[in-house]
Amino acid sequence: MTATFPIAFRRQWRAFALSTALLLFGCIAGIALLRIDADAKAVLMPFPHLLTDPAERVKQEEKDRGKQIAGHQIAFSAYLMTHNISVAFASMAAGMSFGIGTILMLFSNGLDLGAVCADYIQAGQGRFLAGWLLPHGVVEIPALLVASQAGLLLASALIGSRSPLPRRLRLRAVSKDVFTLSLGAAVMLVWAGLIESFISQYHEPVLPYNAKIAFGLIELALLAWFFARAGRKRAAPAS
Amino acid sequence: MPAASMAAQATRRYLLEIRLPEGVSFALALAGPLSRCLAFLVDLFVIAGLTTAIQQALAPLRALEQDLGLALIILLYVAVWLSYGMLSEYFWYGQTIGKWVLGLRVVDSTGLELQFHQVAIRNLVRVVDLFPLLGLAGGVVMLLNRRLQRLGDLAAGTVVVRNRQPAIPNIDALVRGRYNSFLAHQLPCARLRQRAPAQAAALAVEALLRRDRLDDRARVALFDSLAAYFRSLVEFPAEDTDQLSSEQYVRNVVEILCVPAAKPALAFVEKRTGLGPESA
Repeated sequence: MTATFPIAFRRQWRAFALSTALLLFGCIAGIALLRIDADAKAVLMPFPHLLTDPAERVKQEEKDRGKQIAGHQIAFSAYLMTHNISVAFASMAAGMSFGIGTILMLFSNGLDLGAVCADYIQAGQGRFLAGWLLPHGVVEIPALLVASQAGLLLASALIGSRSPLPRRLRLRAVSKDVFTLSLGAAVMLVWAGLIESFISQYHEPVLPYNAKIAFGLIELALLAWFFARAGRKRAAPAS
Repeated sequence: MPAASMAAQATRRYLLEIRLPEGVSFALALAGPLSRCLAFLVDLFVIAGLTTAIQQALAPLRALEQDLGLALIILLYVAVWLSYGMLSEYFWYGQTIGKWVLGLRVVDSTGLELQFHQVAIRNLVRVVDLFPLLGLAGGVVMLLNRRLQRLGDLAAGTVVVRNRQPAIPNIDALVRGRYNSFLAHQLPCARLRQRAPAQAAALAVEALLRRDRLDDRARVALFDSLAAYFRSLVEFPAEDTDQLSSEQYVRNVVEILCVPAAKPALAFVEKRTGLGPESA
């Protein structure tokens, strides 16, 4: 698994690039929409607690010291894992709608993300935002991208322009990678669920923002190394 | 016979022909949408039962350790939903309980062994097949393709086939009980076996199996025409056929054609007596 997953990821890197581009496109659209029309916030925000003023929420959260989540952490992380894994699998499966479903999911997730980021940064709460989102986001969002990569892979096999093979064989050729990528995304989301519940929800003064940001960046670096290098053949050892 | 060839074509439509590289080819009967819907409903009940059982079993833990108990319930609930079909199909020859009840089975569309990634994909893609409601997308796709595959099957390269072999009629019980005077005449028996095509034998067996469901007149007419056909192939001595109803005639013919024991038993008698019945 630890070698199969990154190898499949690298073999299908074009689909990953496409899914990343689609998410970024959604992000930019989200930022732009919020800039153009501040009233759009009511429509764009994915959760009700994001509708309040960012500065007020930060104040509230910092006063709260994680009391709200205390006693529910395990269940909350179980909920996050299962919910995100279901979404990831759905994004993969939606590839069978000629990719339309996968593209829509990527775009709408990007829209949410862009709108939230723009809202907090505009309110001068960038540090809180980074500390809040990075620890779990740097794993959760790539996991969604990988699952969508699998979905786009299915879609391209289904459409199959420029391939001389019949559809049956095209789908057969990608099905193993589709499965590997989906399973890998699910494993990543288990980790992200734990971090989101046990670390991300604690803010200053319980956890300093810089520490949370650093933790997120370290995770991101490790993940990037894993995808880029893991499973590559080393120089043959002298025998 | 245009009607017959049309019927043959219609049946062929629901067969999956698999040609192996070794040159062997065989056909599997594909499962239709209705039986697959029913199998899925049965599976839904099974899953509902399992998840309820999990909730009941973890209720005491949840009372003591609310957080952990709820977490386990959420995890197991989703685990059952996600893995029931995959594990069952992978470890139980392509069957789930619903499929087993309905006599269905998932197989690889090229006749190879089913791989885990195939059952995983076909089960995960089900959400798209169920879109937007009541399995509409999957149902339409299924009816539009020759192998009756839903989207999950297309993605995974699988098909669902009917597991049950056609029941082999108990011909022994069908013909036993009455003395078959034809068996005494070896030569006409041998000619009959030689000349009667397999389809005619199958037709006669079918007719005997369904005799009780035919009304009297239709039954008499059917067996008359069958007997006349077999008479045209071989003549048995008049003293054996004069008092015989057409139906009994067909019964005797079926015993000669389809019951392997009929011949050895006779050979055994001949050996013991040293006399062929023909010469007696």
